[in-house]
Amino acid sequence: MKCDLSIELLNGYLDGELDKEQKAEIEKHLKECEVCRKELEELRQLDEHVRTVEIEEPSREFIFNINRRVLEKVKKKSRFRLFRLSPVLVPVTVALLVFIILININQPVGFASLDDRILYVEVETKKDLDIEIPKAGFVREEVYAKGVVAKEKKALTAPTVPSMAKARDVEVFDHAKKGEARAFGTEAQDEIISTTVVQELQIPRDRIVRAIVDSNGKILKVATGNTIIPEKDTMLENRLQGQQLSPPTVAGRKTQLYVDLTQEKVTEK
Amino acid sequence: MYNSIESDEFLIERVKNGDCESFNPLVERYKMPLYKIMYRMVYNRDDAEDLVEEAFIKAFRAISKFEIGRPFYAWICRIAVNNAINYLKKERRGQVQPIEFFEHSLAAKKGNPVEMTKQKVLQERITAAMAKLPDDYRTIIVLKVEEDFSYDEISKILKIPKGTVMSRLARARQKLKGIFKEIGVQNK
Repeated sequence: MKCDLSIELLNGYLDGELDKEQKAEIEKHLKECEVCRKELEELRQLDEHVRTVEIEEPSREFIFNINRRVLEKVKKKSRFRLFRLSPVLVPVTVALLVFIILININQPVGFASLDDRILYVEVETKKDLDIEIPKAGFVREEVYAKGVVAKEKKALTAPTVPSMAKARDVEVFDHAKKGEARAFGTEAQDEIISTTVVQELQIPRDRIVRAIVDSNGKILKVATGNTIIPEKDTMLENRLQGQQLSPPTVAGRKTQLYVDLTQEKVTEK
Repeated sequence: MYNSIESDEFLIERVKNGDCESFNPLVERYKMPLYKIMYRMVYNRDDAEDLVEEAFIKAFRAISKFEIGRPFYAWICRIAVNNAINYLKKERRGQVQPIEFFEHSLAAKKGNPVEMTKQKVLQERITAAMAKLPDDYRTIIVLKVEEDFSYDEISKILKIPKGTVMSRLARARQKLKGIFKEIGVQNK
């Protein structure tokens, strides 16, 4: 004999999970249906069997030490909490690195070309370096200013100097050579009456002559030779050594210089 | 040090505020009930102990999500049972099923009933029948019959609707009844 009562409802009744109406309905049915009563009894016995099963006792280690083990692991894990983020951090970091590498790969690779030049703009204007070079000829200038001062100054004949100084100094030399009375130097000379006597250094015209002139304009050492490699000429050096030229200055400050006194170049000009 | 009088809520609040030691009484309080559930799910002492330990560690790490006022035992049961279900899915692949162990054991002892009492034989057969159940059926029987959780609680632990709890439990009992008949478990 079969019964139409849902087995779920019978289980619900057994477990006390039905509402009052359902419970009353089941109880009414159970009074009439022997099959369902038998089924319900079997379910009760089944539950009872299940509850009688004994379990194996846990180990002493579990009973006495689980608290300590749990706490140790919990503290250890909270200490290294950052590493728990590694499943997130590692892929993100790798993705970022790959992204950076890919960006760099897409850049054109090759030799530097004109397009790669960087234009530098010099903001500060270049200041001219004012250089005063002693001359190969020296000028004996007798200056009479209110009948007191007599000066001796030199004129340039060797323009192997930077171009800016060169043009000006050659002009000075030309004036000096003509014996014109002329103001020389930076001082205002309007009231000075002077006569200039040009006395050239006796330098061989077919030879390169260079000299080290100290900060006072005195020739210290002389080198000569037809090449740019200097040679010592004792006789020439004895003749020129000690001669007084105009003091070499750089940016207005007296300084020792290595001066080219070669005559030939001036002659050509 | 806290004694057993402290409520779960008080201890959990302390743990949430960074006091790890307050978790200790909770472990002490629930380790055995959880062990029983885990043992009945996996039928292996060492595995059951490991699962209980894992459940406590997971619960500690998720303690910030626990809502004060709800039953802590049901919450940690949910963690433990889900952990055990995952363990059964992963670890039992390709391994000897517990039922085989029990069947061999029973077969060996069938021929020598003097060695054990009638009650002992019955218990081993019931255990074998339980081990033979599918994991989800065994789990729901353990939660209802042995732990006496309500359908509502089981619904939350297993994350299934209450109606499903009722129907799954009915099917699980029918299945167990069939296995009982197969292996000779007699009604009293």
